Amino acid sequence: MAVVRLERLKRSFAGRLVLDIDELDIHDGEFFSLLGPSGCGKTTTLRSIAGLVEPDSGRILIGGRDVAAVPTWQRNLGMVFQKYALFPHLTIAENIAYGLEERHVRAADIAARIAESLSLVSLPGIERRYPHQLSGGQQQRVAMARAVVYRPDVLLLDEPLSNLDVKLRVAMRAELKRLQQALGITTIFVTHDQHEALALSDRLGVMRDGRMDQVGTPQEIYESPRSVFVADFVGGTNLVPAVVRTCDGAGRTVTVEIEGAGTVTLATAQPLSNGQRVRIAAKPERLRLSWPAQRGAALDGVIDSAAYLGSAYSYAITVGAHQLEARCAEALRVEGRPAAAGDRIGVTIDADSTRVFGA
Amino acid sequence: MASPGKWLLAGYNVLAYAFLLAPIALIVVLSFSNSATLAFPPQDLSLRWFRYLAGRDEFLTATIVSLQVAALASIGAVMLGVLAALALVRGRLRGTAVIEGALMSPLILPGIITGIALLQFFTATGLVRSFDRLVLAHLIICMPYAIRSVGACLRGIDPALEDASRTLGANGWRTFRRVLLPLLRPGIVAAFIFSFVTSFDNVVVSMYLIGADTVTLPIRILTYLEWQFDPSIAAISTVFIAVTTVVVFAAEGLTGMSRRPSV
Amino acid sequence: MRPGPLLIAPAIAMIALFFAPLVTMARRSFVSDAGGGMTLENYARFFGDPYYLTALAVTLGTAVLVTVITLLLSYPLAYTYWRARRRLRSILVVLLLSPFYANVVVKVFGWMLLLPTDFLNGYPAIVVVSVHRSMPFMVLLLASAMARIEPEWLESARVCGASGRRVFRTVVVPLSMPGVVAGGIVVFSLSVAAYVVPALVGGASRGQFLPVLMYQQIAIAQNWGFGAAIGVILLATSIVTIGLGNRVARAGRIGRVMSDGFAG
Repeated sequence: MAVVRLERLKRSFAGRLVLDIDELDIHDGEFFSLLGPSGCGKTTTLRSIAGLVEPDSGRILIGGRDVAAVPTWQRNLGMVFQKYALFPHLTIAENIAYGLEERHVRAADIAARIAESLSLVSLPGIERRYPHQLSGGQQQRVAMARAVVYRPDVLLLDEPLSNLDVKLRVAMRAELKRLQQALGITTIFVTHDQHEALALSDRLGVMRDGRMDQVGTPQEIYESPRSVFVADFVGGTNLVPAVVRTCDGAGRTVTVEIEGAGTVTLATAQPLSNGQRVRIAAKPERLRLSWPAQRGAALDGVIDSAAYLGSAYSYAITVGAHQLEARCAEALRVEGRPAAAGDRIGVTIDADSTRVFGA
Repeated sequence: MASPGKWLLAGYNVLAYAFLLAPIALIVVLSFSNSATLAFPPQDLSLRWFRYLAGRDEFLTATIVSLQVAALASIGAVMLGVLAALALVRGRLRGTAVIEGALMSPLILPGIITGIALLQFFTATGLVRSFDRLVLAHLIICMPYAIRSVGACLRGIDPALEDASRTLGANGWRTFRRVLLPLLRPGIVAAFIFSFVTSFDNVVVSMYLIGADTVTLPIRILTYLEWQFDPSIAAISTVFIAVTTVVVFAAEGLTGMSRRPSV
Repeated sequence: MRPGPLLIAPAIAMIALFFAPLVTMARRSFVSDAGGGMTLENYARFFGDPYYLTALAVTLGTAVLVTVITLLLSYPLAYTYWRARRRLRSILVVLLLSPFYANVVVKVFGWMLLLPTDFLNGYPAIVVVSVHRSMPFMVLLLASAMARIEPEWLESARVCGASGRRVFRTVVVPLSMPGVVAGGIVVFSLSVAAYVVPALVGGASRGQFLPVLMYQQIAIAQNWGFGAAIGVILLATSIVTIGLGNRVARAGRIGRVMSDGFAG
């Protein structure tokens, strides 16, 4: 049974529909991320589950029961905020004890539970300090400890890593995953950073303009995007306009023509018709470059510029009327030297990993 | 700025502050005079006039009345101010600007109008006791200061703290008691101090509401000025200044520059 | 998050102790002191008598005069405070706040001691003492507005080649306008509504100020209706002033002056 279930959730603000989710199930014990650009409604969704925001219509079920009539403080949730929201006038121990006190845990037990949760986040012994005396990373871990010490049913995380610097963020990511797996709490994680979402989640949902565009495992989202938006938002992609020339009978592959460059046969998730304008979503790392340009399988391209990224080489290539970006682990060699602007090369679009979408 | 300009500015500052402080300094000095007249400079100094004051009942009672009225009015103003500030800053109301403007209006309207309007109103509605009239009148003119002080403090408190408290299991009242109230303490103290000084200082609203037996200190000094011109007024003024100084210093220490127009 | 019910108590206080009395006063102004029903008699008496019209003019004119003088005298003090470094600032703060240690009666008393007797009971004394008690407010409001001027703006003007005088004229003065408007409104309102200053040091001139007239009509002559009418006229003047002030502020795009006189 799903621990958290959203049904036909709608909310408007200033005349605009900011939340419009038909259905979403989050399973017991899973790490689920809500991913999307600013303003897509992911935080609103999280806050609706928390009860801090009231939807205009629809149902939210936690543990199978409709929580419309249940106020935030009775939903048994744990929440970590973007700026941690540690109470500045209380010590670390008092901060962590807060939730336990509201649940009338005995004073004798509280001290032990505080010590346990602090060691769980690798911060033993700081009970008597105040939040302003801690660094950002430490505050974040205290916020986590405070939210899980009373073993809530669901853990809500509102971009908890975005206020940390890059190196710390990556380190905390691993910490977070370890903690969640150790505790086994159903977790909902909001972020605009796709790398975080892909690295941490069991499943994730990509949101746009209040709607859930696609829900799936990180692999599904990255490799089988079902819309141009998801293809572009997650991992970045080239979008090349083309026209359908032929469709196979089963509707699974089509042959499309890229103006001025040639034809290529690709898989499609949607039924298409001859003559229809489409867009090819091809990830930069899935384009294969070759020299000399092979006839037949490859498209003709001309290199506009080459850049060294440290971990890869990036080439801006003109194919037909369009510019693509290709990434290769090793430099392409032309006539025995590294490829440079002006070189004519062949570009092969990998049929399996590329998607075609209606324009 | 060129050097001669700097010296000119400095010189002007000295003159201007001398101008501003002269009357007050004069009064304080004269209050220690040993003579029966207000001649300056005083020939020798003593505490004669303070002792004289201590024996004069009417100044003592006026001081007590002022302190009592100020205390009650301030407490009331602060309690109402906290409620109003919570509603304005945290409650998502429509027309917040209009409501705030309405609550602040005692500040912009001339005090004498408030005084006369209240006099007519109290008479018409049968509120006869001067003490009650003073407390209520002072409450309404102090409330805007209280709202502003508490509101300013509240605006500096991250709303996420209240959200966090709720997710941790505390309802609205417990969130207020455990999180908001402790963090609002500076604002509440400042509100109390501003209200107290406003009430204690007040002349023109109180003028119309005093009774034969209930007179506030500023008005007692005022009426005294009209027929008794000796250093005893200087002495009581010094006492007045001393009380206000202590309170204003505390306000400055807590909140930065005080800015409170009053009549 | 919190609903409007919180406002019930404050709202009741406001309505009962402020708005209702004002309405009562306004209604009273339409009742003749000689008895009888609703009438415009009190207002006709005010606007029909040159004495009262002169009083209105004098009250307003003096307020303008006091405001201008106060502004000119206060500006250098505010500027000095703004440019002062930490140590000087803490001294200046004490000096700036010191006038607040005494209320208006005490200050007027001090002036009564300082001023020579023939100067004392007359119009010039009113102006001097009014300016004296208004300056602290003006300086504080100006300094608050100046505090919002970022030092970087001055620096970039200097980098562009402007001299100190030019920077002052073209950057500081315009950017301090919110403080000028806020201070102007506060000082003007205080002066229009002032009772204690004209009453104590004005001598024969005191009768030319509306607040004194109002007091005389109500407390001495017991003409409540007429006194209320004067009150309504004073009230209207305040509201019009603040409205005009806001319009000027908006026209100059310098922000709105909020009801408490603090520029925003």
